Amino acid sequence: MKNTFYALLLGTLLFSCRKENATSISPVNYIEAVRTALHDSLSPGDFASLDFSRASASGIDSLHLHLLRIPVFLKPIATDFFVAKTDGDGHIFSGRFVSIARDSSEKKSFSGMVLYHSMKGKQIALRLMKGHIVKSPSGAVSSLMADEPEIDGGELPPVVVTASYGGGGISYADWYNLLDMAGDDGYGYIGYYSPSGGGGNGSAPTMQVDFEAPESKDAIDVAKYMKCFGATQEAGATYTVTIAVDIPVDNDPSKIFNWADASPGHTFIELYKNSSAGLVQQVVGFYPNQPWKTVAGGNVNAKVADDAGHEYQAKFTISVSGAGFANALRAAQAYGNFDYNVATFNCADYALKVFTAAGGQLNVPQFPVPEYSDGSNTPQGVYDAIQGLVLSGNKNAMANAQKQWIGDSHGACD
Amino acid sequence: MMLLKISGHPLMQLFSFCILLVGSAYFGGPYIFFLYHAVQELLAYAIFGWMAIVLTVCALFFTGRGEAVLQFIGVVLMVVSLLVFIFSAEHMMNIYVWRQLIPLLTLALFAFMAGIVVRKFIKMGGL
Repeated sequence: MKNTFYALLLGTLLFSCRKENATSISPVNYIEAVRTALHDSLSPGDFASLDFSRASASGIDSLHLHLLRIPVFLKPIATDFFVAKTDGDGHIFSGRFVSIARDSSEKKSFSGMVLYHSMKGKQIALRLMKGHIVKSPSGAVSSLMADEPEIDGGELPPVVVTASYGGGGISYADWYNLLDMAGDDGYGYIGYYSPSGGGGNGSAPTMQVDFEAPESKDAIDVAKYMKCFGATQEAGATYTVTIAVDIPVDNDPSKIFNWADASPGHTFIELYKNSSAGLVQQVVGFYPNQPWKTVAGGNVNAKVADDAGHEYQAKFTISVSGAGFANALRAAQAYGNFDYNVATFNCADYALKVFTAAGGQLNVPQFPVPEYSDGSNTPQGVYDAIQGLVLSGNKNAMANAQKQWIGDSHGACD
Repeated sequence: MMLLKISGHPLMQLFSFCILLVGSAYFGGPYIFFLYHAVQELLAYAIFGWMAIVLTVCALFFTGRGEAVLQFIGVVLMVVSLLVFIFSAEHMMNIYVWRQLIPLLTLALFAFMAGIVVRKFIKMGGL
């Protein structure tokens, strides 16, 4: 009996933490199968807008659920993506374009409007409160529900969601629900929310499917990222450099560390070039290679990572000359080789070095990093400096305790 | 047998819990460091964590069944503390470091210790 119990315990430990992500074919073939199917289903313009190189697959075999999330070029995956529900071989059951504009930072639930746009211009509006559709006093789910659109037979209707959500992105559960709300044949529902607590049609639970894994912050080859900008003395080209800050605790710039997220916040750089050849944008930030060593306070090997779609609460943009931009590119590479030190050279120091090399000026107040220093550059300090610019009327500075998301990166160029 | 006895000692349980490495892509360290700071902000995971530590320390002053029961309650609270910690973070960013070998080994050590404590508890007749 005891042996059986230990075997069960061991089995539970081994398998309970496994995130199932199995498809019956290889990941490359799976994405290729979805890509082929979408090529036949989407308009050429919509298909061309999808960036399959950053597609993210997830699945739960026990639920026969396979989802592929494909970002849209030059837009953060947190806010603009296509989500496809497939079988294990990549055959598509349904899919939607999703664009999300958050209107508040209420945690972990949608509260706001969800608008479904068909390609013929018809739409459904659903009022959501805490993830459930509100049943209006008149008995109609929504006034616009009466005008039910015909979903185009051969086309996948795009979705525009205007809702509030507290996460850094949208969870798998929520984007599965976006599919579920629209339903395979157009739209369905995820349950009713009755504010008065009675008199409605009751409530159906929202399906919880999965959770987001921690974000990936793999090291990038900075030289290859900077190479995408090409010549920096191009006639007619414009260049901007933006320093952006994600404060540790959302809506509370006074906090220097978030002990729930194990985060001191983050400061990063957005480099942008607009020329006749097109727009190129790269978003990069500085990280410790082995973050668990930072607690010791010494130098740690560092890396530069792609911060596309990273949240921020403040940013300051400057237009720079070609020469200034070239200096920023050089600084981004050179300082990327420095070691990370939580007190003396952290992400804020890196971003400030690049920003200053481009010709920017920011008087950042230094804050003591508890147990490490009397005064260091910190994301909180950068936030305060940008907020000071906002208060002085600088139109290129923005500071708002509510989070927003930075744009996409072009990626590496060979 | 001797190894199991040493492994099941309350001090080993405390050690594996305190040195467990956690952290985000920006910052990380032993779990005790986070418990120390988070309890000052009365975060739930820190309160559970400190309750677990106190109970396990109390187990040092008992023997036999009393020790096993206190250790078992301690380990349950430790697991609860970790689960609250993990799920209270945005996108579980605070366990980013478990992608790397050494932090993962500290997690495995804690899981092993938890298993030993549960085994000890059952051997003593459970509740």
